[in-house]
Amino acid sequence: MTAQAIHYGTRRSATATGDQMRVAGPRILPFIFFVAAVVAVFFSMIYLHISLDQTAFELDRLGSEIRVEQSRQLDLRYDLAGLQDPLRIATEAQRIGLVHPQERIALVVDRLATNSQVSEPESPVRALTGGGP
Amino acid sequence: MVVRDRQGVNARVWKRGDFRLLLVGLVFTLAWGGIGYRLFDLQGSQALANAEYGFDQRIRKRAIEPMRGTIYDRDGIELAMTIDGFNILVDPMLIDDPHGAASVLAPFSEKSYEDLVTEFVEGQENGRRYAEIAMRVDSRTKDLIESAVDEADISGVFYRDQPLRVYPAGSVAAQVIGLVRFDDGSGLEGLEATFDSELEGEPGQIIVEVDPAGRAIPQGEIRVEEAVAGSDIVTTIDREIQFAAQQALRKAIQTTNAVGGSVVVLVPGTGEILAMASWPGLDLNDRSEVTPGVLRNRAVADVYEPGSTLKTITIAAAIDQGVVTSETPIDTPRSVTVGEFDYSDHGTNPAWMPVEDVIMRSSNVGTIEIQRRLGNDLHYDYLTAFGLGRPAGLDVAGESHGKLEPSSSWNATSGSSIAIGYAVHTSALQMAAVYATIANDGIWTEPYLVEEIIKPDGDRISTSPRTRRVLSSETAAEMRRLLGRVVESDNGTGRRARMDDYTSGGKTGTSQKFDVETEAYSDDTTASFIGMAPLNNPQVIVIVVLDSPNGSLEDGTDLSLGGASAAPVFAEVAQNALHQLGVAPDRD
Repeated sequence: MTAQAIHYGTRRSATATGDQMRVAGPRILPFIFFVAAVVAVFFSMIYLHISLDQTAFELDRLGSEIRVEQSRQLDLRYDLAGLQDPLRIATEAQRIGLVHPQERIALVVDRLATNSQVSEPESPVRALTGGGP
Repeated sequence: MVVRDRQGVNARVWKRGDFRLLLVGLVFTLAWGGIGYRLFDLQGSQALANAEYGFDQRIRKRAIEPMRGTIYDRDGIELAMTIDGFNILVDPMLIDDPHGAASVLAPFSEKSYEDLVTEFVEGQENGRRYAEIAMRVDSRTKDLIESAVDEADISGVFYRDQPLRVYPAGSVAAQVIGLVRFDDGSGLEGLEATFDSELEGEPGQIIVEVDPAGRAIPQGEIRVEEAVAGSDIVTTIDREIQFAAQQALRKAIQTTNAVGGSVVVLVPGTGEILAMASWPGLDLNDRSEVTPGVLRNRAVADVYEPGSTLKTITIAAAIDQGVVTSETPIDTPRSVTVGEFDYSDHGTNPAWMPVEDVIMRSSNVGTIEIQRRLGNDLHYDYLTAFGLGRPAGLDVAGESHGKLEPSSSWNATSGSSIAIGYAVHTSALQMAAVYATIANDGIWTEPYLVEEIIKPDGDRISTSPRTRRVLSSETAAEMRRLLGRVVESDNGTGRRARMDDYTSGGKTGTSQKFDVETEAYSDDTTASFIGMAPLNNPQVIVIVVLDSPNGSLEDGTDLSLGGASAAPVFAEVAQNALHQLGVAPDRD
């Protein structure tokens, strides 16, 4: 069996051939840095992934909350419009004993009299029933 | 094994073991070849199809229903809107106790407890996985069901989104708003049908990547194609005036025993329809009340012979053409024969009277004489210019054209009959537009119901009605004076239309109804009144039409006449509308 010299470059050859020269150990520090960087990147990615997941969940939750509130707003609009239903108001007014006024008084404000659209004061009953008898 | 042959060359000697090795090698080669081929097949030639198949397996698509647009009244109060609704469904295979589940769910379902038990048990026996409990319930009902289901620990109950169309004031302007179909939510009648394409919006979809259990993968692919909401519609309807008109009409129907009726309130200057009431009415939220008859918007769909209310056109045309003036004396004999018909007046009139009295007393004979002086062709021109014989309004669903034959095809009696409102068919809205022309200084304005359409992006499309001059402003003013006498004079046929707070003018109308079966006019009448107020500056036009009123008032007045049955309804509705609009009273 023949031994063959392996070419490791100038410096390594020198160390291999010169007994008096110092034998260099493996360069461990860059390796440690490299491993640490890999580990850091790995955990950072995990952390990032978790953060993104949490954000996605949070967005999802907020989206659901918005949908719920929008739905509630629609329900409330419906309720409000229903409460303003003239038929409901008239029935309710009748139930509590309200009657149409016997006399209606109109006050025409001079300065506004040129505008025929303006004048009659709002009567509470009229506001409730939508008009006179 | 390698041996050396005679020439000293190495030669291979086959042994049994080598053959096995070759066989194994061959098998491996074939196996890897097969795997390679399959790999190439899957990743190469079938790659796209497989990718698509895989994508479909882990992707769930769900349609997003668009939110149907809202219909508002002129003040921005919702007349029709869409809220979140739900269908309540059950998977019978997941139900442990059919009796217990049925007892919890029955109060929320249209099905009885027994029906639900049967459905659950049969579903379990047949492997059916779908049963409907309640369709289109609102979110409050859904919450109640959810708590009951949670409390009773029932599994297999699901809630599917299903938009719900609701009508906050269900009976107000019901025939104007119309309905949507129960199944697909598309417009069926009224504005819901006419503006269906604007209201419905465009559906979207949500695409979500899910795990094998069907749960959304947070970092997976999620694509949302948002639904585009429908446009909103702002109508010209004033909810308070509409309600007052409906109440007055309902009361009149009860008092006069009429079989139906309609009321329209119009702003003469702009053509806005403030109210359009029809009887019989309905509540849009109660579908059990819905029949084709009650959904009909009688103010535009029903046509009738307008009777004396049409005399206003005849006389206005004659004055506008200078054929007569208000003071021109007209002979008014007891009756007049034209062709095969004898025309007479209702009640007793002097032997002659000026034109202004012809309209005040609603003389048939006098009006026929005025029409004769005017001539058929000019009469027809004015009738068409006033909008008869074609739809009057913009965007009004189911509107009838009415019927008006061209003057070239009129016979000997057509002109006389049309002069007093027979042989011509109009809708209430068409006649309201005629009187709006007189109130608006002779300019006819197209009536309309939709003020504007608000697109989802906020763009607004406003209505601009057509207008045209029909009468000179002098003629219109004179006609207002003459119509005022009909109401304000003690001899006027429309005196019951007088109001406490406002002056008004108008015309009564009574026409006998044609009976199709006997092919003759019957004793039933269509009674109507059309008027305007305040007289000097009209702000509203109100038309009241009652179908077959009968009976009599305490003083013996026949309720089948427009002046007795319809005129008081005008007074009630017009006064209400003017108060609502804040118009100053003009009567001391």
